Amino acid sequence: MTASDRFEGMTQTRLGAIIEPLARAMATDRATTLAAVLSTLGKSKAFADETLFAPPSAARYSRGRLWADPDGRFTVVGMTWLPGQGTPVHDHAGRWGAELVVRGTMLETSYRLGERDGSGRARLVVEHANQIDATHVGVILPSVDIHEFVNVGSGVAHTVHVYSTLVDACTTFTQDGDGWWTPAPVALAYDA
Amino acid sequence: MPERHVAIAGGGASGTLLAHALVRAGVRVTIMEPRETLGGGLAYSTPCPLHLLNAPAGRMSGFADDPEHFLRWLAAAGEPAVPTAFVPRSRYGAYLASIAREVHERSGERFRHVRSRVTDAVEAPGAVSVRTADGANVEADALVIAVGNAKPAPWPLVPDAVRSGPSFFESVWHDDATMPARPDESVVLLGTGLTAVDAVLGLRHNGHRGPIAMVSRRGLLPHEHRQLDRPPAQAPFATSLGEVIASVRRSRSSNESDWRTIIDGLRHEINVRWEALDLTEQRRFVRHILPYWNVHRHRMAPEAAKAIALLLADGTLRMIAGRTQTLEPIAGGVRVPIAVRGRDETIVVDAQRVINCSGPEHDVSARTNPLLRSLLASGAMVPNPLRIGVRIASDGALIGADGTPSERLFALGPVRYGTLIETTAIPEIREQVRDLAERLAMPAAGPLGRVLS
Repeated sequence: MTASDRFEGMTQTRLGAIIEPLARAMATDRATTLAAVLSTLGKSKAFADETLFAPPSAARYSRGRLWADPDGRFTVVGMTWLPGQGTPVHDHAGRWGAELVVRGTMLETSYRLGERDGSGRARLVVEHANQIDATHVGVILPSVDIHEFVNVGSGVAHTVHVYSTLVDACTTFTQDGDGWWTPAPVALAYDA
Repeated sequence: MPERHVAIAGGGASGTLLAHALVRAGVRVTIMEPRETLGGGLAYSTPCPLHLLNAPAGRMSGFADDPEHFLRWLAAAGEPAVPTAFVPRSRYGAYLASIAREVHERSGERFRHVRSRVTDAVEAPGAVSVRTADGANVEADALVIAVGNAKPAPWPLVPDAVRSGPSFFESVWHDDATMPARPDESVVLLGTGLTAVDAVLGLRHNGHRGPIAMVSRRGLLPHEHRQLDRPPAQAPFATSLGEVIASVRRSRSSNESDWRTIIDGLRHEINVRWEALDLTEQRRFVRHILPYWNVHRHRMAPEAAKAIALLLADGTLRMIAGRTQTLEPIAGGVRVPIAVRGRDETIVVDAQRVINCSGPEHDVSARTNPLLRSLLASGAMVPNPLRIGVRIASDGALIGADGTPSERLFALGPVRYGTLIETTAIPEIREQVRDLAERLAMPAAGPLGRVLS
């Protein structure tokens, strides 16, 4: 565990109660298992402590590393969202994982990648928009991993994201107005 | 040289693709299939948009010599032709139907569709005589049995009072198996494989919102497709099935390679190694390894995995590993007692709907298809020693009771299961079609296939 991990202040027992089930779920290599385990952790209030999460920022949602597995098998990220804050439309660079809403209400809009033109632009088709309330989860799998995540509630939202390997970059998509979207690589940093 | 004439029993995916290849090779073809539309069999007839292909579009060409064919068809139909996308199965049914239409249009007199089922076939000197349910008799140089997958194997410990009741469904493809009577009814799925996944998605699509329990002895869900742009890895050199399994284990425990690419590279290898096993080893493989091979090899589309994951997470869907005890009829439904695996505990689930989602019946003597029954009765076809499928030679020729491969009777696709382990997916079927079409386009010159155990 590194110094920046926000789990540092937790007792080893509580830490084990979160990381061990997640590590076992990741080892099954199944998002179906991970989603069920993460949801169970959410229902048992494993992430209830607000100090686990980075403080909110008026500029944009905050991103804090909760856990980086020493063997690089997975990463746990905590995010803090003020009302109305959200991500751009983005992918997850081939990773898989699951996302838990700890408090608040998030709206996940999923997109499907359609045809691409010669310049690398893509068509995105809205698959579905899904409201995710506290203790509920979302799932990330390659090829169904393009989405937008927005706090649509009236208070601060906290979410926990578990990804296979470190996610330090992804691709965002900006709508061009003519039905085409332009992809752009983005490096991701931690706020705390 | 007189024109060759081949009869095909079954107009699903394998029969249609073979008809196309044979007609292209100048062979006259009669296909026997009661349904009006050739192409999509049971698997590709589902209208549910959540029922997707279990392989990405880029791997689903119907032709071994033209890997982009399905993608071009999608593009021509005005749909996104994304090689990594999972396309609804009904679209693949439409693709196969378009191949069938092409056969019709291009072959003229050389192609005939008899809308009846084959009931019997008798080898006579110089020909095979094929009889259909409507009394027709077709003489051909060869008959290819392409009747597809068997119905699901019957689930054990289901008494007749339950089996014949309104709450029990023998197959997910039964007309209204996934059409709930009430949105909140409790459902038990017998099986946890890809068919059970289809059942869950079908129920949800039809408005079901109640609890679903899925049960199997090991409680193994299929794995998920990932990293779809990666081609299959070069199959590791392995001289035994044990080494095949060991290399998969190694890849699963290392982060260096995705085990999926290794599994995909081993698809052909496993057939070769399987043939080389003796009967005892084959039995052990079926009992201990095959369930694990299947969940790694036959994977869920990411969209399906995502839907299943969300239902498991919110508790709507429950996975139970255990053996079902004798099912009991109760008022308005069925009581399903389950002895939980590894624990001295029995869970009882009362359900308004129970759907058998087990895999195809592999014991050929339990099959009801009249053609298979008559070939078994005449000794033209014999169960293999494991009673999984029938004995065939390496070129697909049936091996009769006298131990010699037929020159006129051949099996294609799922009918070869047992002699092969991987024989039900399009990438295997299209290669069998290419080889069999080449074999059948030649005049009969004695048996060519190697006799396998």
